[in-house]
Amino acid sequence: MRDFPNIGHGIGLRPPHFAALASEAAAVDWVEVISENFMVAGGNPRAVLRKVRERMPVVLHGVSLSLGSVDALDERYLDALDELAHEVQPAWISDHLCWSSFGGHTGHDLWPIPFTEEALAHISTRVLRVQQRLGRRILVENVSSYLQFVDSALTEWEFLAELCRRTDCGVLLDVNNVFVSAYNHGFSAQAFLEGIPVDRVGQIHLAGHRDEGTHLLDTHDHPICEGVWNLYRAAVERFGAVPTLIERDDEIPPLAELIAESRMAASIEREVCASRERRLAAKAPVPDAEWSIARGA
Amino acid sequence: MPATLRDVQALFYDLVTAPEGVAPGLIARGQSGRDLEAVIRGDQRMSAVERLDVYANMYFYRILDVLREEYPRVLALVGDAAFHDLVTDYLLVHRPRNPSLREAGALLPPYLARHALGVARPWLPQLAHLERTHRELFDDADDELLSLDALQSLSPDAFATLAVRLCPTHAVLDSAYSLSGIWTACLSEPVEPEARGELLLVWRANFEVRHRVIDDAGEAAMLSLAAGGATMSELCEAMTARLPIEAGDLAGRAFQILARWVDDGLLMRAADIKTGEST
Repeated sequence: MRDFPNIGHGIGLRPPHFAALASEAAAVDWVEVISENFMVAGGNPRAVLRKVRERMPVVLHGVSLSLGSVDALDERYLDALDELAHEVQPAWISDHLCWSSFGGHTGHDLWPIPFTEEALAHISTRVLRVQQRLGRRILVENVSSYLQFVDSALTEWEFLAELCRRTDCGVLLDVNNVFVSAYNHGFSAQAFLEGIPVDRVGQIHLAGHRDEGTHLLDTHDHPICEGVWNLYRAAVERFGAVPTLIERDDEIPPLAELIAESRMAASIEREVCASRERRLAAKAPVPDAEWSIARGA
Repeated sequence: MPATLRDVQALFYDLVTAPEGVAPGLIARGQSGRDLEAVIRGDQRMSAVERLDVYANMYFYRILDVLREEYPRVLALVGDAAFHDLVTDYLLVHRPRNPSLREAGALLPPYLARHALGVARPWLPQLAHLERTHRELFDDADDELLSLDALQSLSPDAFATLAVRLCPTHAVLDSAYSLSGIWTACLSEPVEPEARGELLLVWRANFEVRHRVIDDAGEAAMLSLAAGGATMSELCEAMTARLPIEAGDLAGRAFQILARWVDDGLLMRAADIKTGEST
């Protein structure tokens, strides 16, 4: 079932690094682009994307599919995404378990859904429709959230696992989002990881967040904190080597810093996978998780 | 009875986009924080209103940030507070409809023309229009450009009958104010433009959007005709009508202007001109 290729460790393709990634041999295995930023007729973004694609695999990551919305799916959006995918030939396409449009208007945000049977049936139908339209399985990402609905009958991980079962989609596991939501709602991040079927995770996101005092805010404007690195170790322990992306959208540092974080992820993956293999060979038990969700961890 | 998904999303959207925030939005609906807690879980750390306010703030400030980047000169000239209020008013009338965030501010220039800020300073909507044009041309469709070599290779007859085709990645703005004069200056030292009419050519070259003033009546006449796909001889006739110019100098002057357009990357390669070949 895990037919999303293991293409190694990547970073997001963002404007400050367009020139470098289009012309130099950067030490990254692949890049992820925000699909909507490249659904344009031409100009520099598409030219850069073509050049980068000649050098390495590209993954399309959308923010506006609005899988959870009660609005009809946006067919023009799907056409544009399909056209972009036809040109880019991405390793895979992903979007979020959320909604972002209502009444024909869009919020340009990743709004949370109630984890109910009604929502599950609704989103399953839409994921199937999207996969049929694009002619491929997609990855669906868990979002950071700041509220929960009273009517939710399932946990987020139960909902995501069932969505995968009903639609055969994969999971883009955002470790930072698990960390942020676990803190904001007081659930166990380890329980989240254990609730996601191992063979469904096709990609991992790592990012930074901000401590707002009462809650953690998913900002993508900080380096990855120790708590998220530790949770990533737990994720690799469970899911093995999965293509991992360093996601940074604001306060974007020099390329070398992003590459250093990507190399750090690769190093952790090697270390955890080697340890796991040794343990499996010795038939030793899995050690307790060493990370915590304490603020500022 | 549990709320339907549609009910939940209608309530969420209404409150997140309420201009004054979630609590005033609830009051406007005749509801209270307790009503919201029947839908959204509150706890000791944060109430349901506070949790939803996180989304309300992100909705507004994400769009505000994008518009600040898209209209830096309008922002510099009106100041942070007035721009903040302008965007608040704008979003009440023009809630985003396009999946791309770059389109969120597309209607700000015409909106500004009706807003008190733009009515008081009529040059402001025109400056916003110029800033938006720069944004739109940035990732418009690519074209195959006409080269100077190809132009020079034409025989006199072929030159006269050549249909000039301007790249779609250009715009001609007719402003009642000298916008070019404040384009650079207003970011560091905000100054208001002079009330002096200006014809501006905005175009993209080498992935960079530029603009310049068209102050040559002959070039202005040629631009106007070229937009309709005129031939070179028709462009020359247009110049004759505008300029006291000898017939012998006409072709030379027209060629100068065309050469500049080619150099600017403003002309598309004609379908009947093959690269590297004479016709």
